[in-house]
Amino acid sequence: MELKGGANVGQATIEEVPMRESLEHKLGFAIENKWLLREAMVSGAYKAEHQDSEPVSNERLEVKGRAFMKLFVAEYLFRNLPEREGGMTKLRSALTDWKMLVQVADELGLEEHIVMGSDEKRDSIVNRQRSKAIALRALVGAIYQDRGCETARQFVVENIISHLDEAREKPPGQTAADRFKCEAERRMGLVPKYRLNGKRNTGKKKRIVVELCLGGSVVAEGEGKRRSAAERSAARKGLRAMGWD
Amino acid sequence: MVSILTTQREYYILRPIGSFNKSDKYKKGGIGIEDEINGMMEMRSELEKEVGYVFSDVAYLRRALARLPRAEGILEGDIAENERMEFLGDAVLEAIVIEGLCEMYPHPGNEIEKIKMGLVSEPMLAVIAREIGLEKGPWATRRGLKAEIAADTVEALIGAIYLDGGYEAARQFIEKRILCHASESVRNELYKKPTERFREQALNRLHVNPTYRVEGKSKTKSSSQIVLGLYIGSEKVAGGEGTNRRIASWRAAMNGLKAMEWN
Repeated sequence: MELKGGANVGQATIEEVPMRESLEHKLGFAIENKWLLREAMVSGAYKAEHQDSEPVSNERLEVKGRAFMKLFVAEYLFRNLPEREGGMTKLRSALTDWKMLVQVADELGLEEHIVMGSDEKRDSIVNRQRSKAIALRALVGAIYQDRGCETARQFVVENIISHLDEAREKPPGQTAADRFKCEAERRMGLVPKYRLNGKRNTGKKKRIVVELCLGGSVVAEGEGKRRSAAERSAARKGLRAMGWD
Repeated sequence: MVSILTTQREYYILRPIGSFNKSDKYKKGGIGIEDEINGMMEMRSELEKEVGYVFSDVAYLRRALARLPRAEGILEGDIAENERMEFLGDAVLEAIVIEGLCEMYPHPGNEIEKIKMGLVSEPMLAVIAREIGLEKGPWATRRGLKAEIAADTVEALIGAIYLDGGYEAARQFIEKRILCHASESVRNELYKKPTERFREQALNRLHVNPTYRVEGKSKTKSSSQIVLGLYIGSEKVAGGEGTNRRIASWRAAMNGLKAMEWN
């Protein structure tokens, strides 16, 4: 049997997915190619740590799963909703953003099946959530490759598109920065500016500090790992400082 | 069987250049409506030949072409449908390209993603639009076609093929017109940044990491310019300039690839 995923059947050292049967029970069907299922559940970080024994990770399946998830969601919206293109784009991104994927992965109880690197196990919750979202995408890719288009579509419809109402209720994807800009223009006719106020190096971690200015005076200050994060926190503080939230 | 009604509506998109006011011409008794429809159908089949797919429901094709300049103002009602179709076509295109690339190449996921980006980019799709004759046909004005509209129309066309003929039909079109460009991109590693390509080549062949040094900077109120030199060890290989560091370093790396004949 040909394995497009790249897993090597001959390699007896590879183990199966943790608690494969319970995962298949959750899915409601079995994946015939066990190595494919394993591939979908191995995170890139684990592969990097075990380069000798682990030949594959879920990177490739993730790319595939992401594309087909996008297609299934787009087609469902196209066929079932009268929305215009802009509305559909918003709904699709609300359905496939990583927050939603993490939620779906939690509903499926995916975490216990993921083969994670030691960093992900120990480290911040963000890393773990990221690998959950990736594993879910890879799972869609594996289902597509193993069971075909229709099963994968059904999986996406049942598990992701079923959150359509939630996605609709999600506040329109406005960031704090967008909101601050809107309010400032409406109430004061001013355009807010973000000014880099310095980079702080505390030990290993680099922090970026940004000032939010409105018409020459500093309204708030934000700090973060990246400039975008710093601006976001500055805008959030600014909204609070001006009493606009 | 296509009803006369559909074909008449379609006339507005598929009419030849120069026959603008339909009613006037028929009053003069110039060309019979039969001829017009026949001529139009011929052009439709020309497009279908280039696309490699024959539509069973022409309404899909009509909607896919509704944003082309000649159809503008006449098919207003179809614009929204056209945009919806483009939304679907974009997703179809991406999925089929990714699937094809995954089958053809063993590259890791992030590189597959990068190769895809090149294949579904606006300039690429505009080239496809030219190849299938959207630009010179009766659908475009004499000024030609904006790349943006051309690319959107190709996506809408893919959506239309998908709706009319299913996944397989869309896959055939994409394989024939788009995926065939992948091998060039992969062979020459065009999907990588030039700086990345130069660094890899330098490391592989000479085991040295190239460096970029700022050789000149000028900044006026309205524009800024930066000149970079690309060095291997202490030897200057090439130079590049641009409005910012990134562009300058890309140019330098491209010049460097050329100078070292590593292309």
